[in-house]
Amino acid sequence: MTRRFCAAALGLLLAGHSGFLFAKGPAESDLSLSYGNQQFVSIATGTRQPISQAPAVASVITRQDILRTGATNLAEALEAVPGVHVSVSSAGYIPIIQIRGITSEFNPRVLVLINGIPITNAFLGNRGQVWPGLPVHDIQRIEVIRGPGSALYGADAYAGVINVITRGPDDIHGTETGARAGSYGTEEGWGLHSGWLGPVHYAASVDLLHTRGPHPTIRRDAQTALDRLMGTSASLAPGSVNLGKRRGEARLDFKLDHWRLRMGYLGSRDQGVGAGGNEALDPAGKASSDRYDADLTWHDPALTRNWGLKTQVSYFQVANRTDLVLFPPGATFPNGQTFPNGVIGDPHVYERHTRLDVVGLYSGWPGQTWRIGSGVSHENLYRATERKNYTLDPGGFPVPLPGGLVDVTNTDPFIRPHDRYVSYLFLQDEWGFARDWDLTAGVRYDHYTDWGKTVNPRLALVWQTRYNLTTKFLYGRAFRAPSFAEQYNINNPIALGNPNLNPETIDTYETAFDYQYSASLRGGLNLFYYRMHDLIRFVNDPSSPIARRAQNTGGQDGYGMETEIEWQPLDSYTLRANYAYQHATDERIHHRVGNAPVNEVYIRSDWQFRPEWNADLTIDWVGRRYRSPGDPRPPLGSYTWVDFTLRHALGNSGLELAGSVRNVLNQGAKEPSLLSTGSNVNLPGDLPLPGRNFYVALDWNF
Amino acid sequence: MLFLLLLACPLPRPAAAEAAPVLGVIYPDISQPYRAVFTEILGGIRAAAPGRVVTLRLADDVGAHTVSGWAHRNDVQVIVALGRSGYRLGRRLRADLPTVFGAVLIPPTPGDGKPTGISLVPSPRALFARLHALSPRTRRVFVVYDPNSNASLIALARRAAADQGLELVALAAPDTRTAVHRYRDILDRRAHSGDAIWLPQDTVTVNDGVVLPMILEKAWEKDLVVFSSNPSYVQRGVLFSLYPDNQQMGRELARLALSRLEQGGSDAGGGMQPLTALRVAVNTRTADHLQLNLSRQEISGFDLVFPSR
Repeated sequence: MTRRFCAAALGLLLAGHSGFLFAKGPAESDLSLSYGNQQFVSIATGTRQPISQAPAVASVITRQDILRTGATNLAEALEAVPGVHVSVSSAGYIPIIQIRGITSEFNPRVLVLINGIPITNAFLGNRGQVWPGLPVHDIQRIEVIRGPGSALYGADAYAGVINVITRGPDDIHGTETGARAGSYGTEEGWGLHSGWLGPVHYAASVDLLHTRGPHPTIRRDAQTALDRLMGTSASLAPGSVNLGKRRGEARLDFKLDHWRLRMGYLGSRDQGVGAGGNEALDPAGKASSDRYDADLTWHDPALTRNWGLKTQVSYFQVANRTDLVLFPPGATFPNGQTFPNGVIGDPHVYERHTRLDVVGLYSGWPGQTWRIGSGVSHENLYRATERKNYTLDPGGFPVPLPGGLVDVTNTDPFIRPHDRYVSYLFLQDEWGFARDWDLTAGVRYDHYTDWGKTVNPRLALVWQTRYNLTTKFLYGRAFRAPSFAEQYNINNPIALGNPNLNPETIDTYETAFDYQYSASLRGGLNLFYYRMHDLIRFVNDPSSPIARRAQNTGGQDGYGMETEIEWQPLDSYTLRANYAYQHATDERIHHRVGNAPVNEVYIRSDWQFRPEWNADLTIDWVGRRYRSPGDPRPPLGSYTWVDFTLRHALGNSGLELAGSVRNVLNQGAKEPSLLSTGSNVNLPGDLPLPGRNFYVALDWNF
Repeated sequence: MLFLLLLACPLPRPAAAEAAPVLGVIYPDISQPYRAVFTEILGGIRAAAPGRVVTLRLADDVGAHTVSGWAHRNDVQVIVALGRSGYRLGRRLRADLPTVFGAVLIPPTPGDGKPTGISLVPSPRALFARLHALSPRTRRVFVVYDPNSNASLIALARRAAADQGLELVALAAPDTRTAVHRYRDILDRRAHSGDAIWLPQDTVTVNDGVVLPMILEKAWEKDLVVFSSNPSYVQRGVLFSLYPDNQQMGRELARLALSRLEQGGSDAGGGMQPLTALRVAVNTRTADHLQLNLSRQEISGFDLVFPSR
């Protein structure tokens, strides 16, 4: 009775008039009884659900979540996951996906997959320094695993794994087109289609976007400090960050029996470099990128009575090109050198990755399922080019190169081409050893031709405590492979490579509870503790007073919790809320780890107040961020980010209109800038996020 | 560019199509995600129909006269009427044009002269076969049903249960209050480990908020198998459910329509058949608790598997 009263009260509160509840038509009622509610109609008319490969603390963001919250790229969609916050880096404002407080400048400790295939770049171990954002119209769902995953996924499944599943032929019904326009001159158009070519079921999609990008103001930058020192006025600060871009994505997906062939492209042109490649504002700097991926997969889950088999060949090619003005025209340095055209550097990095993976499932022994997998991959940084107009003197200050802008690819490169082969073998057993108790034990061996081998185990004990309560006890070890930059950088005295690095490792212990209190209320609680070892940092090197070289040095401890509830008092209304807390310490100096929120609260109210109307409100409170050790600034304060999205189906025409306001409160939200060297901070005012902005969109499904 | 080319290229049509009958499909004009159900059924109809398929979405104000005119203009020789509005209009058309019905939740009712089609109600035979495959030790099935809407389904189920060696204990409950008493009686006294409870598509006897949680809790304690025809219940803890395979349903409707046409539109041997084009959703957590030992191969053969987290 109390619950019903609460639901009714909420209805009145939200609706304010009598139109809150609406009746389904007879057709919808029939279908609801046969398929479940609207969410289930979508599930039942799409592809098969994934079968989780191992017990973990996981979240799924569905296509409906993406549409209704108005998220326009992957980073925005991820904010809904408990314990996950997406910050930005100064260079290009590319997303830094922070999981449980684990963060760093280049963000290599999170593994991002598209359809199960890594899109990691070997150069920095991240998604690349020119990341145009992943558009959402071709995303069917996003699976997020918090915690270690190296026992199955290998390298970089360290703080978490994000697997983006694109929309296949079964997920697209007919043809969909759409367009979006909004603040900052943003225009985006997309089209998706599925059909049959004889026996082949195919899907095709394109998405094109151009934008001038948000342009919040940076008051002081790296050049401001230099101007003060040298008495010059070269800095372009105060000035705006540069986030314009043109972006294109295209995908093809073919299905025939057990075969699947997928191909994709994601690229950008004229991409702004954020607050500058060297944290000095750079309106002239531009970046561009190309990413091609393809996979051919053969999967038969029931090859024989007891065996299932999946074989996959995949290819990934990526080019990141940055043409940067590192310091603006007129910059003068303590060595007396002046650069009338600015300090210019144009590093370009090109990579190819090929992989072969074979995974078998054996269930011939009662109560047990064995998963065995093996594979090999080739990571090839086959070209790195650079033009620049400077070199560095022994004090680390730039000196103009004779001849101005010079191609130094063969004379003074920042890295030379490198490649490595990775081979692996894993074994996992899922064993129901007692009633309502399952033990999953797994181990994976990886061998890298450049730095050696690593072994990563995983244990998961799952207890079906009651009909509506599941308890998990989890342990896992994961590793992050040293990036090519950390191993092989040359000619850059402040970031020299070290070929003798070991991988970073992390041991994580988790306890998770999932409780279905009632039909309409579900809750979850996760507690975690982790210990990171052999962290790779650039530290002072005896080779020169300014030199810094990559070294395994020290670790980090962290603990915390995530809790979430989902309340659906009515088919038309859902309230989701989560709270995350993390406490991480740098074990070398017993200092709190900085730059990630200690507390975060996320609330989402989703209300379909008429059959053809949906209103979605999200409130994300990002708590205080401590500073890194040595950073003299006080902690960065909290902010509240509110988005509101309204969707309206125009009759039954297949047309849907959406309007979305982002940062409704127009909060002066900021993400932390990082410490440069010593106690220097190039961007002392941090990284301002966009103010209130909006878009309208029209989708047409026919 | 390739995308545009794909859109622009018409697929070759077999020469025989020109002579094949024109099949007309009428279906409700409703919004997503429900519309996707009809899109998938249409895909199945198109795949199985040898000739041209024309479609008409039924807005609320469309009458039988409009549909009749549309059918005439398009030389439609047989109609597949989908959904509630399709059923309503199709019944008025079937005197003039052979018509079959689908995607409508009405009890299966065999019989000459009755509307011919395929109901959204899953075949009890298929449900019991799946029950036997998943839980071979189950010998007895309890069902509480609304006698006003599901009497014919229960009659069908009794025959299917008898054929498969199951004892079906069917208890009528004309209202929710009676249904709660029936379930309490089953759960507290009558059912024993290994017995099964079948939850039919019935808003009177199965209440999501009250009855279902009560059944799930007691079933967990007493090792009872609970199955249904609503996949969302599987997420809640029901062992399995069978739900429509839309593509396959479309193919079967097309074949049924063509066979009706061959019979000259006669409703002899007609009636609504239960749905046999079915997909399966399974809760592996519940299966583990019931110690059913599903193999990975079995699990990978299911269409939906819960829990997904």
